[in-house]
Amino acid sequence: MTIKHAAVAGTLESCDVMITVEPSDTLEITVDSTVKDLFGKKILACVEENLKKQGVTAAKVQVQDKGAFDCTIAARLEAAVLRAQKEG
Amino acid sequence: MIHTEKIFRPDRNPRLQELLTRFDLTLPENTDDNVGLYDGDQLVGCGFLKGNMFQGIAIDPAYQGEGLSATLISALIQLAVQRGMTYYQIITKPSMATMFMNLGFRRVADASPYAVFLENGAGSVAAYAKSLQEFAQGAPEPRACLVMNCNPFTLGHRYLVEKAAAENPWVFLLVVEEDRSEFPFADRIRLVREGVRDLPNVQVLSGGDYVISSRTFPAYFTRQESLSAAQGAMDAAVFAAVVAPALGVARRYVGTEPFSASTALYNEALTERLPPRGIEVVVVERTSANGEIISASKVRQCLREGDWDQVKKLVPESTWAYLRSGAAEHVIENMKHKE
Repeated sequence: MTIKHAAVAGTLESCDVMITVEPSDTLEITVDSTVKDLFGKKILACVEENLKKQGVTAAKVQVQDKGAFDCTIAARLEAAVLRAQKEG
Repeated sequence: MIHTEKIFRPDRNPRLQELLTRFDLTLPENTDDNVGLYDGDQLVGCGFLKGNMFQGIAIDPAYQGEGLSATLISALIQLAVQRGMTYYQIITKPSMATMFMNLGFRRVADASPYAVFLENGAGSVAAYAKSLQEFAQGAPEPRACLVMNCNPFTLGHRYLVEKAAAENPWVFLLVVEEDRSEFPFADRIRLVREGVRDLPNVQVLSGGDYVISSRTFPAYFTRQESLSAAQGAMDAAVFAAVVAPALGVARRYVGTEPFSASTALYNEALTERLPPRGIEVVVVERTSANGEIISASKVRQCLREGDWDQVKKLVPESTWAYLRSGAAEHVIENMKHKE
């Protein structure tokens, strides 16, 4: 799937994650998390895996994590990518 | 249950007024959108979006400590993204900085006790500094810098640039990038480029997202009498922390405006705050044409009044040609109507 325009899903509330995707020529992921020291790598792996599942190979992805579970991260990412498909 | 909803007619909402007043804020002006936090139909929080800036953020003290600031900021980010923006700024009181930084905002510059400048999202001040560094690479030293709005470029600006160019091997001229001035940014910077083309040691650059002018500096959280000082302090903070080191500049030129108290306060903030950080400030007296001080506001006034003879005395050939062309027609018409 290609990212057609900027889109966001999720919030900055505790136990949630806010994921912003926007068009880019390459895949560029930045992770910011309240639990980055412990789980930074795991969050990144989770995002990479789910982007692959959705067939996204080029995008700028910003992850602002507030301690979300993997299932939340996957759901927020899927929603952001789908929103980035919609026109307008 | 708390929910978010757009505040309808914020200028006519007494409850919103009350909320802002409690935080010593006034209603932000000319905003693009807003978010209200509601408990049932009771307004308990608010935030505004103006360009990529978040403004006027307040939450009823009775509702604080429940993570509602996260809800509010999330809603503002969603509004911004819907408008295609993925980079956000906040200029706010120093006492509010920690709250925003806990929500992912990073500090750009600190102009305590007046204000701090924060950013979030894609794009960073480090990347901006790097781009300036690339522009500056190999330029002769020492280098001087001017920051101007040029709305539009006049003989007064020209005089200031000429003076800096005569006294320094290299001069950077940063043009404030925003489209809230009468003349659009694209036209302003083009006129500057044309107006200094014959000066080989002057390099014109865009101010980008970080060079804040009085037009972009939000006034809603500062008392009117200290607004100019706050603006000057923020200018000095960004200049000393970001612009000057990236461009390798040790000197800043500013022009006076003899009848403007706000310019005097602004310049005073610069002369107070830049030298301790290793930047010399050169204050240059404004030039006059036939005894009249040249300023862009004077030019705009003449344009509004249709006094073309006077305009011709105040602007260089390139600006004159633009003002007389079709490109400027609607700008001048708009100015007349705004009066």
